[in-house]
Amino acid sequence: MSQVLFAAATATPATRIASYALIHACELCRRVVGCHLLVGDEATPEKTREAILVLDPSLLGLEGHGKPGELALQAKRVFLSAENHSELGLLSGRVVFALSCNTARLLGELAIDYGAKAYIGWTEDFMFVSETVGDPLLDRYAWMFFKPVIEALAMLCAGRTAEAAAEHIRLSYTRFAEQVLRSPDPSAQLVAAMLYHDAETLKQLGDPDATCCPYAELELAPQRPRLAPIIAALLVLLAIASFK
Amino acid sequence: MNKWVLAMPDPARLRALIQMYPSLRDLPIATRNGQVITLGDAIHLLELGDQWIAQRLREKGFDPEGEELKRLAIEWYRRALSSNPSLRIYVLSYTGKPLSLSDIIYHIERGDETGKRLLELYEKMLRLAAELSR
Repeated sequence: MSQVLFAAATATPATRIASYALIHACELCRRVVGCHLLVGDEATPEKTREAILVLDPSLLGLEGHGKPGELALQAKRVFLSAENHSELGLLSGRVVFALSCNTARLLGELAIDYGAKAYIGWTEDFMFVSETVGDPLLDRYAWMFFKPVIEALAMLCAGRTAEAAAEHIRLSYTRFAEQVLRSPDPSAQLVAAMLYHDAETLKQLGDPDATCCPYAELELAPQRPRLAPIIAALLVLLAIASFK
Repeated sequence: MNKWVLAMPDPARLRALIQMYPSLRDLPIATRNGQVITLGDAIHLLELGDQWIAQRLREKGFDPEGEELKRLAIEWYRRALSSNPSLRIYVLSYTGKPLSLSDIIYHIERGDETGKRLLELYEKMLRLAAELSR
């Protein structure tokens, strides 16, 4: 069975929100691959490095703060750096997904030079909005930014290509931006502008046909709260009450 | 040359635009005597036959520059954030904390990398409105 490893920082409000993307993705991926998750204080550079060496994951998902030549994990400790090429060798032969700012501009290019099959990341700031500091799938706006990321990671686990996963995110962001602009929400323009920005700056480097895992059928059911059963139950209660 | 010039500002076309995309009604596009004019305001002025707005759109389209661009961008963020006080902007760069409106104003006024990025977001909306209105 293929092994995948996700490491997610949580020390700041931004990373705490973003970390849920990897947590949810791992829940989905476990249906078809062996998914290992390092979150928060477990997501240190040392433990991540050790996990990579032990598990030899075919897909590596990383979430944390970033610069063009750096990706940090928990407590903003640098894990990958353009100046420390020894760690870049850890990426060789793997598909890498970096939920972080800017890393595709330089770090991603170096990762490919050091043998990564593919690198998916952003060339500029990854920006999002949220009303809450918690699970973005439960937030009125943040889910638009992270649901596609969860689905893209699940697609990779299910054997889809790197380019298909990246394109799914771009298309989803563009579709959501279009939908939100059609609403009268005063915040709609800001949300849409960020979605368009994140769609335009997402980049897939390396082999577009790179896969990490054997093809598998995987139902992508997002973990948004299902309102239909709740509403149905309320209607039943109202109906019962009206007959009394 | 201005990037997003409207050759013939057509109020009917612009009104159709905001009917399809209601949120664009409040897009700040110009200033006049210190007052911010939104796309909705501009349509209303065009329909009243206001020559200033017609000439402004012909000459500059949706392409403010310099200090006016900064002023309009700040207004754009102010409207988005003040309408929803619980909304926060996050960036996965090294700050990690949400950007407040005062942070946004600071960066835009300072013209640093973050400020440029914030201006670009506003300009995206201007460009989109111009493209959709053609």
